[in-house]
Amino acid sequence: MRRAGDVQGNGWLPGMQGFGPRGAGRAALACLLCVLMVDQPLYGSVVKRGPTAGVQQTKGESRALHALNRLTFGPRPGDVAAVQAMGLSTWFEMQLNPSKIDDSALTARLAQYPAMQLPQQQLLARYPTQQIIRVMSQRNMWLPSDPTERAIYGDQMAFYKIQQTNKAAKDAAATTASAAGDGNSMAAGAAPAAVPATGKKNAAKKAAAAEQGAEAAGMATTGPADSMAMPNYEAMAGENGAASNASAMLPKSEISDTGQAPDQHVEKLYRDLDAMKIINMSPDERMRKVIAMSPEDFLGFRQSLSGGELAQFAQGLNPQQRETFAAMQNSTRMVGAEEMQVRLIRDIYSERQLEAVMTDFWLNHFNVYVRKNQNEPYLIPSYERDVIRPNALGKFEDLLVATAKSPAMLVYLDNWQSIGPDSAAAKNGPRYAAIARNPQVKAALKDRGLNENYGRELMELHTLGVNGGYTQKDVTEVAKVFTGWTISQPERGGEFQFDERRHEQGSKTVLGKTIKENGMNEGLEVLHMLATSPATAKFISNKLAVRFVSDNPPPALVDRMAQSFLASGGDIKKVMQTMFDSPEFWTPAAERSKVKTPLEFVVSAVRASGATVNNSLGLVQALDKLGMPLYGMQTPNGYSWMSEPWVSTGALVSRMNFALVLCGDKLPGVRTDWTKLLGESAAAAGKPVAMDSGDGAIDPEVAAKEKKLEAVLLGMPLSEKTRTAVLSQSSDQTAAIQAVKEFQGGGGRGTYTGGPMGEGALAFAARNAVPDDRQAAIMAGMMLGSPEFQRR
Amino acid sequence: MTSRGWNTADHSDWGCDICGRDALKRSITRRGFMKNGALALIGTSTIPAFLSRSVLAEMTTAAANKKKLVVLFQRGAVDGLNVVVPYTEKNYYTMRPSIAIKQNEVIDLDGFFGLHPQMAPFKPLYEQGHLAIVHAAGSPDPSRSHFDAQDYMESGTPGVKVTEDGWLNRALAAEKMEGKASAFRAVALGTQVPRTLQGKVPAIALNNLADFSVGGKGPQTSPISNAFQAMYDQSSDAVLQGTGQETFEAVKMLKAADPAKYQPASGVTYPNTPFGNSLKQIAQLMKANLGVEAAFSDIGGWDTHQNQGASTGQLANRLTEFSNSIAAFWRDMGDDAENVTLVTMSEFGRTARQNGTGGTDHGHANVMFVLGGAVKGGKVYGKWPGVANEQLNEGRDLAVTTDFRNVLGEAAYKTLGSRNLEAVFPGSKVQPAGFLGLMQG
Repeated sequence: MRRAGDVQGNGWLPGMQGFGPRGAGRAALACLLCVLMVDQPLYGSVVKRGPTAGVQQTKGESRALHALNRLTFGPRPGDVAAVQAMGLSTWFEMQLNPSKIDDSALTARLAQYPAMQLPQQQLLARYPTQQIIRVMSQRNMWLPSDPTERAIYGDQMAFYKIQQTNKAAKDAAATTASAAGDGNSMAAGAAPAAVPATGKKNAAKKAAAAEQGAEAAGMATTGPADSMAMPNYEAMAGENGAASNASAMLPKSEISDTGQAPDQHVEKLYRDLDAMKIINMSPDERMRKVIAMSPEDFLGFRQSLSGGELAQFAQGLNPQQRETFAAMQNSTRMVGAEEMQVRLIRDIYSERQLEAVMTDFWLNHFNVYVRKNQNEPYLIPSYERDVIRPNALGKFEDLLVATAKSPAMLVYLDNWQSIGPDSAAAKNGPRYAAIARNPQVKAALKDRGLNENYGRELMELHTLGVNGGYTQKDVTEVAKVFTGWTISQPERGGEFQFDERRHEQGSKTVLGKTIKENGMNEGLEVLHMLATSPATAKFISNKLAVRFVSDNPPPALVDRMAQSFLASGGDIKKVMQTMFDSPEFWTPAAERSKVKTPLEFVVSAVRASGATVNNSLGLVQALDKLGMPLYGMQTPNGYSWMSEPWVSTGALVSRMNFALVLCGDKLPGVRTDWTKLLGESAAAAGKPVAMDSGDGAIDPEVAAKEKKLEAVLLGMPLSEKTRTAVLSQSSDQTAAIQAVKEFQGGGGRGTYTGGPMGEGALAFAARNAVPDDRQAAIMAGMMLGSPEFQRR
Repeated sequence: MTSRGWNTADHSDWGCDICGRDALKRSITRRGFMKNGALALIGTSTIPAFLSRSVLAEMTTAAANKKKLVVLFQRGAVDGLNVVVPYTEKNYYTMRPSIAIKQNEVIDLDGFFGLHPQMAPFKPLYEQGHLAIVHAAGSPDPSRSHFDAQDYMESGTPGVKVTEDGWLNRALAAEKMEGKASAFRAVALGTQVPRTLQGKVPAIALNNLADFSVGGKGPQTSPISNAFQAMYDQSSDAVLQGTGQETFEAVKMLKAADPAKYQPASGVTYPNTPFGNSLKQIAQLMKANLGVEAAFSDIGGWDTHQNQGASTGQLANRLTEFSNSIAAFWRDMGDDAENVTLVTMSEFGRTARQNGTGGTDHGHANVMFVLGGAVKGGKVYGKWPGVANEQLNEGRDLAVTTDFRNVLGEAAYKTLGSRNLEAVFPGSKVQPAGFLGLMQG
């Protein structure tokens, strides 16, 4: 029950730039299918390794399937055969060395998101935060001279001003309403409308309150400031369907509101514009035209477009142009949406699957939260790209140091503001406080000092583990060690810097060891100490084993991995190799013993179905619904790798609905091709999955199709009961259409996210899409929603 | 501002005398009314409809326990000292130069404590005697890890990690039950069943009543839903089979009861936030008579290490949402609120002193709220340890004087009828004799 205005403004949004080249990635698929068709007898070709005597081992094809289930985001059609053809150990070794794997198809897809490749400061300079927009508007600052940037800044600043004007008017109205007893509205969750709210007084008041909250929560341009955007958190935090993480970032806004009378101010403007004329121009002309528009004209133009027209407008624009168009409306949303879309594109399409899985593992281990403040979304692309991924299969200490220095982590766990109580900066605080104008800044300057947040989580969650033998005193001392680890020009997306003036003087004692006064090196010394501690080796090994082997991994396995960790100086590759070589990894009991997390479920479903993802925004939203929004875990422990949290009534309902929606082509931006998939699998069906019996009542053709789908989607036979259930629904054609309503939270417009561009069109397409083979679609939906597919 | 002498002594009923001034107001609460006169009025036309309904219901189903326990977890460790403020404690102001709630801003409760101004919706509940406050409550375990401390509170076994189930689940198991339990007996609003509700008694989690349905809405389950049900019912996968069964039973019940028709009582507006919506949906489920006995929800965003604000700001915003949601729930439940007990908890409190970034770090004792029909409210319970430097736990935090299990134990005992407290809180020594007397019964 989200209101239209909620998701505008500071909210976020999906830029939706992602019309990936259709068919990119097909090459890779085809390649694997070729391998598949060779169909060689691989059964005995897998070399048994390691000390396997006495422990029953998974064999043959299931071995490859098991490896793919655990070490990738799930097999695509043909992957099992391809791995077998290559040989498991060869395949694993390649996966351990991702740079040797050609990933050009993925690179081509990612080229659709050029902003995600920009260095952090450039990203923030070109696509400013809403905080910057606000400050610039309030101070009437000069616009950039580059015409495109000028439009991106100028339009948003103009929206901000219109919004302020409207807010003031509505505030007055709301005061009256409030006096009439409607005094219950809340700031939380609502982000102000970037476009004048057209709705109820109440909504306007909420927006106003949220704006205040966001104002207070934003990262100030000078000095310490509130960095927790609390009022906005809940709207994203993943409860109550529509109000979950990315969904809240998604625009419902202008377009879905067209039923209501637009604000007069805007109405007058877009009546005068001939939107169709612009749409019919060449892409470059189109962009020149909108960039040259006055902010008011642009707003009117944008509001006048229907979903279909929006799609037409987007047609032919290059990626930068699409990003620009989105950013002219809200650059923060564009950035936030792209980083999530890109993450899913990579997980689905990367040939470097182990790297992707490990990146996911470490992003979760070194969790950061996109809603921490308005800058955090700008810090995440570099965090993923420069901090986590390059070190995902490297040395743990390098990874630890990189996270410690990363602006994303420094902001998330507040260390960038932590100041030695006796440091030079602390002593100067009162002096600056005396001249500070903002009372909050004044107060903060006067009393600033230590913040324990990073010091504690560094030991508890990143290295030693909660039973790692540290005390409260150690937490405080570590916090002192890391004073001065901060960010230069934080408001501009600056990088790490060590600020001696903030650093606590004197030596410290950490875990019984004296850390001599040595500036930034103290921190490096502590990180080294922690990275090489046996407690850390054990803690990390155990967590890896829980992720890759079992909810309750055998202690002997964990010990072996920890030994490998210590002996190799924290070489993650070595630890993974040890795990791969261990009999415990290959016991039949371990097979399919892990319940997929929502991310694993969604990505594996897309991979298994061979669906083409032109835009991953619908999948990003699906993760909200399933309770695992990307970069949406607020607390630093990250999401659980255990089964229990992910098996609940509500989660199961959502999984079944997702499966139906995906297979029925009702998910915006994702297209299946069952005919092709079944055709290919027929040609490749060298080793069909055995079926126990055929139900006499079932058309043999349907039964055959079902059988093929089992082979393609699960790589193993379903239970008889599951199969019967699947077959019983083979003629139901309406389920996907129904499920889409459930899955989208029952909103009238459902998938209609009405974003800056593209989503509208995608939703439009999805409403009218019909899977090429409805029968296959419904059976596939049942299979992906089955108990069997929930495990890996 | 001197301390009154009694705040450092053992006054387990401190605040009582002072709160006694609202005794008059309390006597006209629904509960008081019912207890003292409602039964005598049955059959006369002067009895308000809501009262006759609930009283009659109570008479016809006296054996059935219609009581409901709602447990709310404030995840992230709320700063209790700024929620229920010891506003006459001098050191409170010394330790919190920029984040303290000023004396002229608190909503006075008893001359010693005052509510944060954004907790205003709680004031009438307190005055009417529905809301009790327990200050300086917490865990005997000293952990300052969010995750350990939450885990200990939810399992109900501080310091013991191997406990597999949650205290609320055990409380339900310890209840005397007749007949088949409803699928909605234990329900959590959210995507996951929280630790508190995990265990032998089936518990369901759901996010949004409106889309808790497979492959189609409508009063009947869709064919595909039935097919999925058959698939899960007969799965050999024990975990998924069990959850599947609960899921489809709940889906069916929900379709039959159609809780969507139970919209909030007139004049009640819930904050449009996940927490507000959770409480609204808990009310819907309860009003739909689905057999809810225990409900759980949580609200995050309390980990205010940095710039937490004072009477306005970050913490204040969270409190606005928190107090408005709960007050809306209370009003929405109408006469059925008599059967409800609601308890709030948070894993630990925060440092008594503000830290170097205008916030507070992880501390120890905290404040709990108990709201309900049978609650003897209008009073701040517990023994106040004081916040003078030498009174602080480890020199930095509010000390714990009431074990959180004592509060939860009393709520479970008197609401759910969980008589075997040793089973609910193994090793805790929580016994009725040691209850604070927060509730009648």
